[in-house]
Amino acid sequence: MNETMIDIESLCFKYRNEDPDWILDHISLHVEAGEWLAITGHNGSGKSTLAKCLNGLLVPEQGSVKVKGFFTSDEDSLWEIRRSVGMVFQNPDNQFVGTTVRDDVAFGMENHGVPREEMVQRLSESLELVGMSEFQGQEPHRLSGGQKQRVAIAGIVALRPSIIILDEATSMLDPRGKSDVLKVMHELNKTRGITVISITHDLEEASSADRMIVMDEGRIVREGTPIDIFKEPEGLVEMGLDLPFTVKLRQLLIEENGLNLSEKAFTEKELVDELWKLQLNI
Amino acid sequence: MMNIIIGQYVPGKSILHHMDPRSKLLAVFALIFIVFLANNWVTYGVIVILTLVAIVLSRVRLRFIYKGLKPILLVIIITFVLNAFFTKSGEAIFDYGWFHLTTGGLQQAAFISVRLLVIVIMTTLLTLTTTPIDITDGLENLLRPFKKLRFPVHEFALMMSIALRFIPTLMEETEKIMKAQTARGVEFSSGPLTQRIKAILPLLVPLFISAFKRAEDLAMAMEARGYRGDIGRTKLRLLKWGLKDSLLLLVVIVLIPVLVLLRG
Amino acid sequence: MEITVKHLTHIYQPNSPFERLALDDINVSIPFGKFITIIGHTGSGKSSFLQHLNGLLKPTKGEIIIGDHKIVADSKVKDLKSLRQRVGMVFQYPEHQLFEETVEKDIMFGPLNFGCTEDEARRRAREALEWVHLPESFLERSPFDLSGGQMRRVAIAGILAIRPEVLILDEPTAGLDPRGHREILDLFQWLNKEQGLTIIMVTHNMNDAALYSDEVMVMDKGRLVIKDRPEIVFSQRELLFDLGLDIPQTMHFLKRVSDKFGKDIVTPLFRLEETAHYVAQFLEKEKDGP
Repeated sequence: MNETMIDIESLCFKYRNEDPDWILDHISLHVEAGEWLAITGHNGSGKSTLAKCLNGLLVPEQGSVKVKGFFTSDEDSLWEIRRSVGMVFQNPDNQFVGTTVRDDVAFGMENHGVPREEMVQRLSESLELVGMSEFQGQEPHRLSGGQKQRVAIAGIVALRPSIIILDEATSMLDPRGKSDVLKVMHELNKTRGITVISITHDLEEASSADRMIVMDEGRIVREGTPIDIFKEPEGLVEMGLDLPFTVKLRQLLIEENGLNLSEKAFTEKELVDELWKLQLNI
Repeated sequence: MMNIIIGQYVPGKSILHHMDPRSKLLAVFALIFIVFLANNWVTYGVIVILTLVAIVLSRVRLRFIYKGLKPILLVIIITFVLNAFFTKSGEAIFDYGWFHLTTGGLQQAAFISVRLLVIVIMTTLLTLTTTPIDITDGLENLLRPFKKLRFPVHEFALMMSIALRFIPTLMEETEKIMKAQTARGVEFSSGPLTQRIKAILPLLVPLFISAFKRAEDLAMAMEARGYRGDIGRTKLRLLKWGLKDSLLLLVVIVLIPVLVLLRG
Repeated sequence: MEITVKHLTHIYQPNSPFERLALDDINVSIPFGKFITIIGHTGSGKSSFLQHLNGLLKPTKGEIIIGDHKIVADSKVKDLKSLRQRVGMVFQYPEHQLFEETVEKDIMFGPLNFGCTEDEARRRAREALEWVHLPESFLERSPFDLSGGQMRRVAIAGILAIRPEVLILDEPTAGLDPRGHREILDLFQWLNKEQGLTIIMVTHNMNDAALYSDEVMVMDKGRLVIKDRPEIVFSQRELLFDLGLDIPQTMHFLKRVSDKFGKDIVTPLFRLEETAHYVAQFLEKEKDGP
């Protein structure tokens, strides 16, 4: 069993006391070190609110959120929690603090009092990791959205975090920016063992995760590997979600065209391989 | 307005560009007062020569300096005219009713105009050779002693640098909203004045809403990145005081007794 | 009546260090009533092209003819306002342009600017709100209390109420969730088919481009590379990949099938149902064997 990174016990939250319903309604969740967890659900399902509870930007009304053994409700641990849980937000422009790429990557390290010499070293190291080394002195308005998000990731990596949360971080990017950001994140997940929690409504993106959670009206309604979740796609569409391409095609091949396919085929390659076998068997 | 704030800095590799912003700030600040020591042709001569040397050292093209002067040129001309016609001393050159032009008046007018010109050129040179963020850093550093008096020096500097970072973003945003409203039939650049004033609302409201949203997001992002004010903070940006900075201040300091001695 | 663009060239900030060729000799004609999508990666000139179509940008060279309006380089455009009434433009994230106290007032803003009477504007606001599938009760609400997807629909209704004949859309689904995405695109398809609007849409989504449009324009570095029916454009795999673009998912899948089975499937298909059906039949034929 891996080390537990995040431990949430029946977390409840609402923004205003007078609101009748919880935005997060008795959420319990464990996240293990090194896993890639996708949290999905339509806009307004509570997934972004949940993300903000994970680094203490929002504090539980009821229940608890524990990050690497620290409670987010404990003011004294907040600083350490925020160092180990980095967060990339949706709008690339509104999280860029520095006047240049260098300044922005340094901002987090400055806040955490990293000595200057080490700062300079970590700075070039993390820019290298996200492939933005050549842009050191560049001003933010000369960068594309994808580049800005990679700078934000560099600023987080420089703090040596254990967890990175992507809060719809690719939803405002063009396809190239999106794939660049995801490539960097997969790299960090694999080589550095950084736990990734990706809040997204892009089901193609979610289906590459180790584990997936579907949220609806502040509750976790499905949990499991993407393969398991898409084995029973019924209900997902009603929740305002889409299905990955292969799942939709598989359903059509089985239901409309009477092909004898298993429900395991999940990637395009697996689906084509099953079709190939189907042809050989008869 | 925008031109004054951001359009000023001209990238370059001159000796003035490489100086510490603190020495430049101190020197310009001191010069503003020192200029008042001059009161005759010799002392003004010294100051004008110094200004010319500074211009040459900055290697900034005169066109840019002229651009910096333009907004203030009218003030200088008016100052010159007023002084020339309302100072009575020395021989009369021209006399008609209210207007008297005297040699003393002319001299006085020339002196005051040169004084103004020198001050404006010096501050222009400062902003032409120093990036806004460097000026902010320099100011933060120089104002440090005022922290003891509870003046929020760090917050002030951070505010300045965030403002600088967001100016281009907000300008882009303004242009975008203007275009979007133009497509909805608003006319920003033609039509009667009342109509143009009315057109401001569909521009300003969205702009403010978006600026507030940005501010909210930014505050959240800063908090997530561990910002908690000035406590335990280190800095990436270094200010490097070199020999040339000491020299500059030395020149300024030496200038004081020289001018005092040469004063009439 | 149609849109004709001849030798359209646009240079940003000419004679300055920031000079940039945004559009390079574009020639194209778009008949009224068509659904056109434009693809090309960021910086290919898509947005610049769109902004010429309702006079927000002026050509450096060349001309644009829309019905009886003519925009020519170096001359003042006559009757810009009536052009803008006929060519409606929905920018990226259009909800950022909302500013009135109520949804109704915001939707009425455009029609009033273009000279509608108060009553007429009010009537159109109701109608436009219905078109974007929002309930009438929204009219009295503040646009800023709505969800992101609802705000976007109100903004689009604000353009529809101007009753344009041509609707220009710059990535209208950016940032929406899958349901919002589908509903908005279905709306545009309905406007095109049932109301006869010409639609010109920029998108990054190849599936949408393939499924919804009569013709696809591919742009790169300010030039128009190809303009043709989706079946023809998306058969040009290599070309699109070279330009940093992609092909629809169905085409990816068919390519994989043909590689596996060693057969060349050349039929371009974009609809899932068609693709599934085709693959099933293909398998049937393979079973019977040669």
